[in-house]
Amino acid sequence: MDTILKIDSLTKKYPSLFAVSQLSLSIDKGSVFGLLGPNGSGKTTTLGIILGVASATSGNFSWFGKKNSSSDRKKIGALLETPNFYSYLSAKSNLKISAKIKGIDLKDIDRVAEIVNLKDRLNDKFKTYSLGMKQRLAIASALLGNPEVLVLDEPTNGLDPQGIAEIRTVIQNISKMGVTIILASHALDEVEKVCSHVCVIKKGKSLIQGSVSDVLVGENLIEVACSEIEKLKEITTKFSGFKALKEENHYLLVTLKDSSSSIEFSKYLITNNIIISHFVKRTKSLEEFFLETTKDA
Amino acid sequence: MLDLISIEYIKLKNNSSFWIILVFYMLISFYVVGKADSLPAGSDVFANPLQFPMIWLTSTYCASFLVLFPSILIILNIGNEFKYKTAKQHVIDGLSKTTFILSKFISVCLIATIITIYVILLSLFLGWQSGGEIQDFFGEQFSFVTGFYIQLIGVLSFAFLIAILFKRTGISIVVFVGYYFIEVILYYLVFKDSPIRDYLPLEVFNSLTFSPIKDNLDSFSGLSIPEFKLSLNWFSAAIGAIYIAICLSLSILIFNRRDV
Repeated sequence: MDTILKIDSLTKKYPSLFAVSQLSLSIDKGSVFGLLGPNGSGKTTTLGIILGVASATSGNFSWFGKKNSSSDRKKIGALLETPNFYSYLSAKSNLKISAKIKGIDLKDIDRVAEIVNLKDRLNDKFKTYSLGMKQRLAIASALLGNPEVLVLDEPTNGLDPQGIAEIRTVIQNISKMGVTIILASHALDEVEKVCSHVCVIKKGKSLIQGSVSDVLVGENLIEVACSEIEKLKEITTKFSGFKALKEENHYLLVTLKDSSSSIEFSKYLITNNIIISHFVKRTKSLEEFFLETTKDA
Repeated sequence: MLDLISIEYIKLKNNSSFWIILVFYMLISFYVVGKADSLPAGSDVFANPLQFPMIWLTSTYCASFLVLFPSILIILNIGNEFKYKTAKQHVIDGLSKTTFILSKFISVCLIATIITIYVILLSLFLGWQSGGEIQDFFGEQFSFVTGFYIQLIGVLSFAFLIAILFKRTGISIVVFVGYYFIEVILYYLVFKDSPIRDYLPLEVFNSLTFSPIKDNLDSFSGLSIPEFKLSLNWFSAAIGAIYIAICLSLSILIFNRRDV
């Protein structure tokens, strides 16, 4: 598969901290790649570097498998942090400016306005727009000229549920058109719903990356409960396939090694005379994974 | 290139503060130039500073006094790019940082050109009203229009550099106006006995327009007026051009070295 973006040990150092540290990743054509991390984890800095507005302290990146040039960015539609438009200009004039920079026919403005459902408001000044409309206009601007890649940084940030749903529908529709999407977000459900691949970052470091389904089912989780929780804990930690344990309200959340199965664990508990009152095999939600991995890092 | 010009045109055309300041500048300069014949020091030789060809000196000299207005215009124009984060967006959309600065410099040239054309029209109007000789229209004194143009671009480039450096409109205006005072101190105190003072940037730009008042004409070269043909000092113009190049290069350098 064609690689759209390759990042190699990218590092951005500010005087007091590493905003991005030795980050490497590779994004394939057609994928929806989620960059997931809490606020301040280096997502925007990373995107800023690959979009040419910030310089890296060390490391490399390359778009479309070749040497970087500013004209490559004309093939990338991007929304970084906030929608950046002139408030005193109409939406249409703002889109005209973007189109002229990218060298795109002005006729394309109507098409992208249609996609984000802003056609009727194009002649209104940007400052009269609601937050959701501003965000949609920014996406419209990013869509000018059918870019091969769309970079979206927190596209649903600050929107109401309806606005969030609208933006997600837009993203999913664009993805179906074969556009590669890079989506930075702190919202897990967003990445879970929209993305095919994910990289979780914290403090500028990549914690894990892979396809969303791998990351999701990668863990072997069992909820187990009995009347004697302390004894259960003790016995469980001695199980050969035991990996980790977490105490929830009324049960233990046990992580087993990949090699071990829930049946083996169940047999083991029975042979140790543990009477189980609750036993559920479950896949870990991205949310739990996220909280756990980012806590230790 | 044409796209870049039209981008700057869209930004300026719809900006109300641009029009307010520009019209304000035009009205004031019209008033000031029109009143020049009532100045007490009108020379014997050129009885009326509003007649051809002296009108070219009068109009450019008076208009150059008001250069603060277009300078603020430039600072606002650049400040907007940072305030709305559109400088960043332009780079994201595919302009190189250098191209961005050059595209903004188009605004400097656009504004300087508009004002210069206005001053030419103003001079033609006032000169014609004062009943000057038609054949004197574009005498050697017309070279001061070129001087004025270079001066405008020069001062605006300086405002441009400050606006790129400080990003914020308020701070930039304070620094820009403050520099005028700094240069006065440099000129009259620090470099009092040194020829360096004639090469200070604003001093160089100021020397590109020249007062038509008699005292000034006398001191211009020590020659008596009838023998002296007054025209632009092209050496100063060249130094001015060098300063413009320095301002532009520094702006490009600063913007390239910085994360937007």
